[in-house]
Amino acid sequence: MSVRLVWVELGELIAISKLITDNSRKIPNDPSGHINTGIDAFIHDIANTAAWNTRTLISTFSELGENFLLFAGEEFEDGSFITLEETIESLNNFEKLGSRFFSSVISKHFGDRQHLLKSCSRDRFLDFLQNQRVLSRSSTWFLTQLLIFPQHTREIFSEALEKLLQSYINSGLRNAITSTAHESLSILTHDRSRAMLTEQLKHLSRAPLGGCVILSIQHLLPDFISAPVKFDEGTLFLLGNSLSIELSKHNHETDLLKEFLRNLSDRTRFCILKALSDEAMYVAQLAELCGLSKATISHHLSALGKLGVLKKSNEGRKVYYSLNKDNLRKIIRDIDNAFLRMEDNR
Amino acid sequence: MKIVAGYFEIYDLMMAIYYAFHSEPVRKSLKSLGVDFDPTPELLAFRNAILKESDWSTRIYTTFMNEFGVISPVLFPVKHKMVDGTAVKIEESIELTPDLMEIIRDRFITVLAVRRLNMKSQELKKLLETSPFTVTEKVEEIEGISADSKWFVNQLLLFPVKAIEFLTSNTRKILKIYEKTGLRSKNLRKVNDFFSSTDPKVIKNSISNYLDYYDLIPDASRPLYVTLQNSVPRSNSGLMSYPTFHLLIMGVEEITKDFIRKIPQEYKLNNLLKAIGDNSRFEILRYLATKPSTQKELADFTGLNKSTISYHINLLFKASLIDIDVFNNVITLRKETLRKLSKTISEIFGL
Repeated sequence: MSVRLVWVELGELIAISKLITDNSRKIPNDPSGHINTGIDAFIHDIANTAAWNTRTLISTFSELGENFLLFAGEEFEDGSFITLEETIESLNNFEKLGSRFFSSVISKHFGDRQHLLKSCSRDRFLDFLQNQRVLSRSSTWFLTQLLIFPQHTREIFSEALEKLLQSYINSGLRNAITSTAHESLSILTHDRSRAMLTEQLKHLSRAPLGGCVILSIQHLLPDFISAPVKFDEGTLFLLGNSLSIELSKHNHETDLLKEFLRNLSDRTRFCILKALSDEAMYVAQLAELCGLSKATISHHLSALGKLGVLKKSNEGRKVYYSLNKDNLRKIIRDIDNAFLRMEDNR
Repeated sequence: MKIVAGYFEIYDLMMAIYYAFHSEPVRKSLKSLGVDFDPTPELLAFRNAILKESDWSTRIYTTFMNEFGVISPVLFPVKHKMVDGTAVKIEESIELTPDLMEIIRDRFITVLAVRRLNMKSQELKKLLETSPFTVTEKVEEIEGISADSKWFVNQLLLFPVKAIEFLTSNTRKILKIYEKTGLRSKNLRKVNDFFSSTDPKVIKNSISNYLDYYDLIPDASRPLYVTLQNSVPRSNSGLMSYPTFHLLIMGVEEITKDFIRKIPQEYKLNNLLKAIGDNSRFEILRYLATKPSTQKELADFTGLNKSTISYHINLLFKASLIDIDVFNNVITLRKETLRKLSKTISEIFGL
C-alpha cells in the first residue's frame, strides 16, 4: 500500500469550520501566537461579514468536511500542495467532482441504503433525504441542492469559498499556516515517518485499504483524525499535524541516540567515556591512559562534547572533563523509546 | 543439554549453493566481522559451474534450495541415530524409500501450513483432498518466493512421487558438479581431518561458547545436533528447532577458531554497537520495532537492494539483534538484546 501525502488548503478551512462549530475542540499549541490570533480574526470576520451561503457552507463543512476534500482536485499526486485558488478553479469540473462527493457521503452515512441511489427515482431519493435524521439541516440542504440544481450549487459554493479565502488571507492564517505546512510535509515524507504513517492508517481503517490512499494534513485541529473517505480510486483521510510534531521531536532524539551508539562503537571514545565515568580527568591524563597523543584525545573529546555527554570544569590552568550523567541517562532512555515502546504507542 | 556433532554432506552442498547466489553479502558480512573471506578455488569453480547451468530443472532446483534451503532437513531428514562424528554422504541422504517419502511430504505440509500459509496442517491436508486448486492459489499468494519455488512446492503437494524423483535426480546432477570441481573431496578431507584431530570436548566447548555468545538457550528436553560444513568455513544457519531435536549448521572454522574461547563481553558489546550504530541498520531496527517483517518489506522500506539488505540482516543477526524464523524468513527484533544493551551501558558508566 502506498500513501500519497498532500496538503490541501481546503483542509484548513474544513478544520476551522469544525473548530467554529464545536468549541470544545482542542486548538493548536502555537508558541508564536500567529495561528491563534489568526483563528480569532477569522472567526470575527466571518461573524461580521459572511453571508448566509458562507455560514451554511461552514456548517456543512463541520459535518461533511473530509468528504469535501474530493472537490479539491481530480488528482492527488504525492507531495502536492493544492491551494484554495486551484480548488476554486477545479470547480469547473463540478459535475464529476460533485457526483464523486455525493456518493462518498451516501456510502459513509447511509452505506446500507446505497441501492437507493441507484435503484429508485430521484423523487423518492429526495424524499428519503428530507426525512432522514442522520445529517444536519445544512448538510441535507447542500445535498439536495447538489441533486436538483447542480449549476446553482456550484455558483453558491464557489462564491462562499471565495469569501472564506478572503477571510483566510486577511486573518493572517494563510501566512502562518503555509510555512508550517511545508515543514510538516517534509517531516512526514521522510521514509521512516512514511512507514509509521502507513502502519497507523492500516490500524485506523481496520478494513483493508484498496486503491490509492491519500492523506491530507491540516494544522488547525492538531489531534483530529477523520473517518476514511472512500471513493472509486481509493481512500482519503484528513489528519491533524500533531503526528508530524511528534515525529520531528522523535527524529531528533533518535538521531542523537544513533550518533551516541556510533561513537560508543569507537574503542577510543568508549575508553574515554569509561575513564571519565570514574573520575574527572584532564587531556594529558586521558592521553596517557589510552596511549594516544593529546591532540588525538582532544579531537575525540570535541566530538563527544557535541553529543552533550561531557562536562567541563576549570581548576587552575587545567580543564577537567567529566561525564554529564543526566544527559547520558536521557539518551539511554531513548533506547526504550526508539525500540521497545513502539507497540504501546499504537 | 545433550550436544551431538556430526556431518551431513548434503548441508555442506546446500551451503555451497547458497554461497553461489550470495557471494557478495557473505563476503561483506564476514569482512565487517574482521574476516577476509578468501574462497577456495574449488568453491569458486563450483559457483561458476552452478551459475552457468541453464537448463530449467537445475534452475528450479537451485532456486528452491536457495529460497527454501533451511528446510532441507525436512527434505533430507536425519534417518540415523546421531552420535558424535556421524558422517552421512549425500548418496545416503537421497536414498528415499516410499515410507520416507510419505514422512517427508507430511513434514513439508506441516511446515508449509503453519509457517507460510497460517493454517493448521490438518486443514491443509483436508484442503488438498477436497480442493487442490485452492491450495495452488494459496501457494501463489506466498510473498517473497519466486515462481520456480512455487512450482516445486506445488509438485511436492500434488505429485509427491514426481517431486521426489525431481529432487533426487537433480541432487545427483549437482553432486556431479560438486565432485567435478573438487569441492566435494576438499570438504570431505577437511571435515575428516577435523573430526580425527579435534577433541570432542573442544568441539562441545566451542558450541557452548557459540550459544553463550548469541544468548541462545535451547530447551534441554531435546538434543542439539550440530552438523558441520566447510564450503563457507565461517557461517552458520542459526538455531532451528524441530519437534524432536534442535539443529545448527556451523562452519568448521567457527569451531576451531572463532568460538574456541569464550568471547569477552567487551568484544561482544563492541560488535553490537557497530551493528546498531550504522544508519541503515538503525532504520531497519526501528522498522522492526513496529512489526516483524520479511526481507522484501525491509528492502521496500529502505530502498536498498536485496543483496545489501541481506548483508545488513546477516550482521544484525550476528549481533543477536534480530531473530530470523528460518521457515518463513520473517525477521523479528530481539528486544531482549536492546534491553540488555541499555542495562549494560548504564552499568559501565555508573548511571
